[in-house]
Amino acid sequence: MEDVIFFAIFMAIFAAMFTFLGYLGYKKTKTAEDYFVAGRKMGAVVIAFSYGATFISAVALIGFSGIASIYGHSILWLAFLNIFVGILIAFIFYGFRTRKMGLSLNALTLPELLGNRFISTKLQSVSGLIIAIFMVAYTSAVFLAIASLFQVTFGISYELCVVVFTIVVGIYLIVGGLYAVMWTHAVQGIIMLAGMFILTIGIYIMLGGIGPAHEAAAGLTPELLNSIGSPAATQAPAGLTSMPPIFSQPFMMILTLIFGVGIGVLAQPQLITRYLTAKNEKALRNAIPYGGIFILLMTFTAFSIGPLCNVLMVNNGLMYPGTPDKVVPLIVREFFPQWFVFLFLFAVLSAAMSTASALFHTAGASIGRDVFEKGIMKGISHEKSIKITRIATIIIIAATLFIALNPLDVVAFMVAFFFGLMACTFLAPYTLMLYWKKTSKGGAWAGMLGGFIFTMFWYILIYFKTAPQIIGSSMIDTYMINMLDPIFIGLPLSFILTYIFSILIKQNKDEQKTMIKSFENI
Amino acid sequence: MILGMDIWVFTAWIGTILAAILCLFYGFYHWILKKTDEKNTSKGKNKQSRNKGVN
Repeated sequence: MEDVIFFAIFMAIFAAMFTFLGYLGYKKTKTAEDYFVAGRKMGAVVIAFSYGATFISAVALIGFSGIASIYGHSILWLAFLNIFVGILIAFIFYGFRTRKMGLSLNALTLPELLGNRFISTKLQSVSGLIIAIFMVAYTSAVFLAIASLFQVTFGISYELCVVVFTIVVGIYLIVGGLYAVMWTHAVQGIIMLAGMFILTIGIYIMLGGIGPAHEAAAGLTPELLNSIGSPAATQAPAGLTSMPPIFSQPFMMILTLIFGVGIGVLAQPQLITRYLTAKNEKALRNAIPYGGIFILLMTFTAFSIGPLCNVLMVNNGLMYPGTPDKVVPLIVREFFPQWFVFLFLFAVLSAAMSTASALFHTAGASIGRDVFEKGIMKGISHEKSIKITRIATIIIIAATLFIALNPLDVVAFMVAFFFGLMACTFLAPYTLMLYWKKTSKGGAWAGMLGGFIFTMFWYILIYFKTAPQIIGSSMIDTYMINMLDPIFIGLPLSFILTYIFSILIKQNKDEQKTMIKSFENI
Repeated sequence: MILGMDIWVFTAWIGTILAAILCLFYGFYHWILKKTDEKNTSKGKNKQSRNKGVN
């Protein structure tokens, strides 16, 4: 009971601080540009922290470190891609151009960028609708993870957790717009950094440093892992610090995770919005070192400690706690002082809040601006635009709350779903739009819809995680195919379709004019 | 085994650290480049103003 009171006090302080930042955001929000892209006035540190905090959700911290406890350190390849692709390639090859094109075309969202570049409000509305629908499900999955964690740790009811969490995030987001979201991200990012840094250092100190810790993990035999009930006994056949045999089932699982999330990051609408908020190119450029270090201290640490949790459990006679999501919370509860248990919970809460607020904002903007304002109620004022988006955001939050309170089995798979779906749908038209002047409206439609339809079919009929939940079993029994992330086929297919249809259906004169305008500053 | 990891896992481990260092270098490189540019610009301006003074 004492714990719950202590937690409630800290939660109240947390909520008050974010509400205050929401109020400051409200005072600064005068135009649609302010609400959607924080007035394009953000500096390097806020961009880096906001990008990182949006990217790294509670699922990444708790879920992926749990997955690392099963598959071992080979998942560190994902940490490498998170920095190399998620920061370096993303900012250098996508960020600068997106910002410049966004300015030239006066675009405030990814769908608007596509719509304005190809002079098609339909393209904008359809993109907005796809983003909003799947984002609601993804956000519900984030809620599900965090509420379960608090239920397990404090015994607070799941429903109460979900409602309180939604109200806190909803208030500062709706009131303060993207200003509030990004400022709160900076605060949340610092808490996340502190939590993960202390956790990692603590675990390595307990195990005698980097070398001894990894050697202890390498020395865990399948028999020892079996004795604590760890799935690593079968899923890390070559040991926790070695790559599994090539094309074995664990290898395919790691391959799918690494590329699905590692490459998928390039086409996440909520992350692309961060490029549009930069006050100048220098801010984006300077965000790269901060972003690299932030991700290093998040995913690299989370994936490094996951396998080591097995060593702590074996050494101390603890049993593997059922599902991988419970591994890190168990280690924190058993081996760290009470003050750190709270800090860690707030770090996870921050990770969930930051991702949820960014997703709500992007989904709200997709429905409010891309579907309603541009698709249905054309030519309305800026004030009305913000009002409509605020109402749309409330509807999105209510829908998410409803799904989170009545979770369907398939919702839990939305995290895996979302990254792949966004990449296969948007990455090809988005990349070619930035780099190939001949990309046409026909090409963008073909690449987007082709990638989207293929990915949906793959997830419904073939993918080993989702197909059994939806149609009972995968239509293809071979694990080397049904374990593949759709990104391996859907992404090349989407690129090919965009290219071929851009050649077949060439740009008209209006499109050519817009194309010239969009490349003016590049 | 290097630091208790096989060669592929170690490559990922060191690659992640190097990627983060690359991000830092990128930031430093542009910071130093900018400082050099600023220095050159101010030197150029000083030269111009001195020449103007002589003329």
